[in-house]
Amino acid sequence: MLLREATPEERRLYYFEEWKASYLPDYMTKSLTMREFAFDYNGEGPKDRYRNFVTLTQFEGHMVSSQPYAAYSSVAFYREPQKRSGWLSAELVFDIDAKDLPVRSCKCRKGDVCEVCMEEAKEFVLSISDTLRDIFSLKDIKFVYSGRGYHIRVFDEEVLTLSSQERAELLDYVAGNVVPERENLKGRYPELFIKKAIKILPLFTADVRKEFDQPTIRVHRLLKYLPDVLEDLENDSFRKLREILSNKTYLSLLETIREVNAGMVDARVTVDVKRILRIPGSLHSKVSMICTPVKNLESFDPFRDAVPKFVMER
Amino acid sequence: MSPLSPLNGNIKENIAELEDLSERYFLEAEEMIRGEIRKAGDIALNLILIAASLKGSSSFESRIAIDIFREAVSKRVGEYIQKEVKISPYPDVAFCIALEPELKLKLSDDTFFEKEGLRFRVKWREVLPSIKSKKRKFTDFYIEKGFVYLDEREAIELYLDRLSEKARELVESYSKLDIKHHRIEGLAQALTKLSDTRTERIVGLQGKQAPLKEEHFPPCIKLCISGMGSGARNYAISVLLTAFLSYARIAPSSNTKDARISDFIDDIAVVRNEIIPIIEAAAERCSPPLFEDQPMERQNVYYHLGFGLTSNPTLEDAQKSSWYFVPNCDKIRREAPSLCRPEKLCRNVKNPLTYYIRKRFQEGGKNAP
Ligand SMILES: [Zn+2]
Repeated sequence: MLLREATPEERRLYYFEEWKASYLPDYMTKSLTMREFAFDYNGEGPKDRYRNFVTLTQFEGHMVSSQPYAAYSSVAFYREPQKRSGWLSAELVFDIDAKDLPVRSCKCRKGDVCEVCMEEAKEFVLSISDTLRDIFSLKDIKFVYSGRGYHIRVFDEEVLTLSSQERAELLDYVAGNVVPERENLKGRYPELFIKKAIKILPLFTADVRKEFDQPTIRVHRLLKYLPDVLEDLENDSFRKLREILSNKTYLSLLETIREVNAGMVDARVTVDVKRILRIPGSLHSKVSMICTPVKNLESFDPFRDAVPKFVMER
Repeated sequence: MSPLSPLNGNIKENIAELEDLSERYFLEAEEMIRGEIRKAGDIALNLILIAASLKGSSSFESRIAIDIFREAVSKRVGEYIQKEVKISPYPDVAFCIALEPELKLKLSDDTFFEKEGLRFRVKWREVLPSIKSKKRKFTDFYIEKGFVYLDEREAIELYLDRLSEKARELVESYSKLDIKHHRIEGLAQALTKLSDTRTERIVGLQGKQAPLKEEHFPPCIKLCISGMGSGARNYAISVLLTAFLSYARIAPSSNTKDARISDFIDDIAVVRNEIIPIIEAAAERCSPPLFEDQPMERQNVYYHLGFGLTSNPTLEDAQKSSWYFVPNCDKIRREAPSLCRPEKLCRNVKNPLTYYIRKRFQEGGKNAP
């Protein structure tokens, strides 16, 4: 499928004939008046900021009349959104962008996406949301297809007032951005880290060498023993890894896994308590896809569920 | 409730009224500061916090006062926790309880956790003070279904972290009261004296200005110096390396947030001849070389050193922007994952600068005559 840029005429078609204010999810309409809105009218970035809407009709009017190239709203709730002041709280957000995944099993070049890496991004999103649910007992979790990846948006009371640093710490846990300290691998975090390692290791090809500091020969050695290593890991053991790798390489491999984990989520988005995100329902004009609220992540297929009508008719 | 309980608003009046009565509390507080006793009652501890507040809530004195407070209550908290937590508040920690009425430290009821020695549990948000103080990370804890499971030692630490946090808030609220009282001022002086000897010791150990020694640099800085690819090079050169080299050379023990380079040196040559050349060479080793296709980044280097956007700074410029402090390891791991390649000494270090200071100290010790 061609992910080409939408023309102004196509934007007009989308906002006139397809988009409805009801595309906006409940969590947006309920807090409409407390959010800052921002618009990009020509693809040069969201230059129209500090916007605020008092009614849904007003918002609808603005979308239809301006047919923005991109539309954003704050994850933060403000007392005075039009001044971006009186910060009250903010959703907790994780941004997973398929085009930036550090390892992928497809042949995509950096910056490109396809069905395969989109699916891999989705799997990573699922693993993060599982951690949020099982470990931190968070329940009010929404997913949005962003156009090239996914946003996870969390609304549970106990996360809304977290500081930037606290969000960063939470991110370190859910993303797997810490090499577990304990040698015995009991405990929920080491388990999580191993689970991620099992997912990532098979994606290590000789190409990884270029991105990370792993000489080819070690990667080959690792790939040769991969089935054994994986079986070992399934039983919460790093024994095989230690056997085939020197201590230094072993530690360096764990660091590489951590580094890949860290690269899966855009940390700057999570720690920014005043961030703006694409509005669910709005058009991502650069790739002509709809930023889509996702009800059932497992069955969601962006190339079926997030394509605007004008693309079908191209 | 004791007359000096934090819940009692009229502290100023009470201090005057209690003048005579309080003599023994002041003596107790003084002995505590001098380290002659290791336990003190609530009132004496509170007096120490009040005294610290005269110096401001972020002063070195306040940090020391909170340390004293923490140590003094740690034994009591240990005893308190060993008893069944559900049972009525331990009489002697009334002060703590007043500070911390709501720590919901429950005994876990699950036999699995019992077996692992994880006898206590709290909601995950309750460990935030320990996280905030950078002592622990979420990944250190056993967390499940929204609860953090703790062993006894962790439970005590957590309780103390929370109490210290509350004590800090108390000092902050006292500092707004404008208290004038000669005995309190005396206590404050004692705290200053103690803090002077401690800073002297720290500075004496590690804080002296000295020429840079590349062999003592942490792995991330060595990586920066070896040159980075296009993804990480801006952060590596104009943020991390710049901050690291400048603090390591000029103010290794600085802990004030609003420091200026000109507070520490009186000749810009140190910057020009000892810091900039390393940065230039590292930038050259990047692929592509950083300053070749982004000459503006040179100005950014000076900007992060506090000289504002310029390419030819003088010492007088040293307050035009802020002197960017060396980012913590956590932050580096998040913002430039590829830079962090920790080795053994990194394990107990939270900032690259600390690594350098420790390594220098260790090696210095070895080479000493
Ligand atoms: Zn792909």
